[in-house]
Amino acid sequence: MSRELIGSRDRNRIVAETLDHLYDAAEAETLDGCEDPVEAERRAVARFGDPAVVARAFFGRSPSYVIAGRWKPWLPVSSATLAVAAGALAAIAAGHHDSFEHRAAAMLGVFALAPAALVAWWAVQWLRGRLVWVESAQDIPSWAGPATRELGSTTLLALPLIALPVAPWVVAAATGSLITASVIVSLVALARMRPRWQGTAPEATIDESQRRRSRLVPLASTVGIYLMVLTPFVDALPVGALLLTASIARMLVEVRGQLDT
Amino acid sequence: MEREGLKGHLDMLVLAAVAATPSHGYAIVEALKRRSDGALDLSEGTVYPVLHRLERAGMIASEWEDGTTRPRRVYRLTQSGSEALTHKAKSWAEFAAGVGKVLGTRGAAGAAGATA
Repeated sequence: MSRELIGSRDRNRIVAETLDHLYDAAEAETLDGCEDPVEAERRAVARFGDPAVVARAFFGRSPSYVIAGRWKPWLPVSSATLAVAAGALAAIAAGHHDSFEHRAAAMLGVFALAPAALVAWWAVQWLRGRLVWVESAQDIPSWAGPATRELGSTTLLALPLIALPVAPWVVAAATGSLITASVIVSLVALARMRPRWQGTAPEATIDESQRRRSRLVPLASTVGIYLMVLTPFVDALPVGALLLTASIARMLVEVRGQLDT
Repeated sequence: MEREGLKGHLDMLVLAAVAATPSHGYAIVEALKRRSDGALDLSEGTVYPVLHRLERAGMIASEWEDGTTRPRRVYRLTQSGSEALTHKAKSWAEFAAGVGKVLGTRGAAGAAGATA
């Protein structure tokens, strides 16, 4: 159900409420005489209904239903772009790419992709939340959401690669902006995670390990890149390669999640 | 009552359940069953999209409260929800009265035909 609710800004809350409901229903089954706890839970789930159907009911008949429960075209685009970035990184590392006049700037440009992906990720989440929010607007064409996301994320991810050979210093400046934005976003994410770590919020019960992994990877990427900028004389290629690999892995996990649905 | 028949009326029923007492989702489902003597036996999960929709519409409000064993999302009727419930209940009463009159006439005829 959690997977079905990707795209809903109320996802955590819905899952928490569902869990609470299932606990109650299972307890009621036990009180009614069901002695086997597993059987009680099975009955509770059956009474709740098909999670996919319930999840889709949250999106109504709007375009957001199409957006939220189906293939996300920006994910393979993002993954492919990150893969290209990894290739470019490898080319720089091997010294086979002569068009990069300034290696440091070129490296920064490549590394910009990871925070760009992070910013794109949150932008997409925000955008999708807005699309869900306006679900009563039936006149929004169904292709608007995916098209906007694909265009936005592709632009964010591909821009540094396109601009890199032409204007490495522009890319370096853009990288600085992206890093700053990424740090801010990461700090906000960190602030949001803290109460859950402390277990004070109800959402603490929800698939916490998965959420923590999915947020820590981009966070680690951002911190790593930030440290790299502060230490320009350190050969950070191995670190950069590691961070990019982590970002790609995360994207692939997301893609697999989408394919599973 | 068949589940298809509930569509379109679930908002009103949920508002009525919440109006009786602020409740969490499971309690609302149970209240619907209990107050209808089991006639409203719906898939329990279907209540939550209704609750969220009503909350977005401002008819109910909710917040997490500490329960005996875990935090719970408790829903309360708002002023707007109260007014909406009054309006829906009135519309339903008029509708039910009209349908009852029609069915009563046809039912009587059908019963007479069956006994003839």
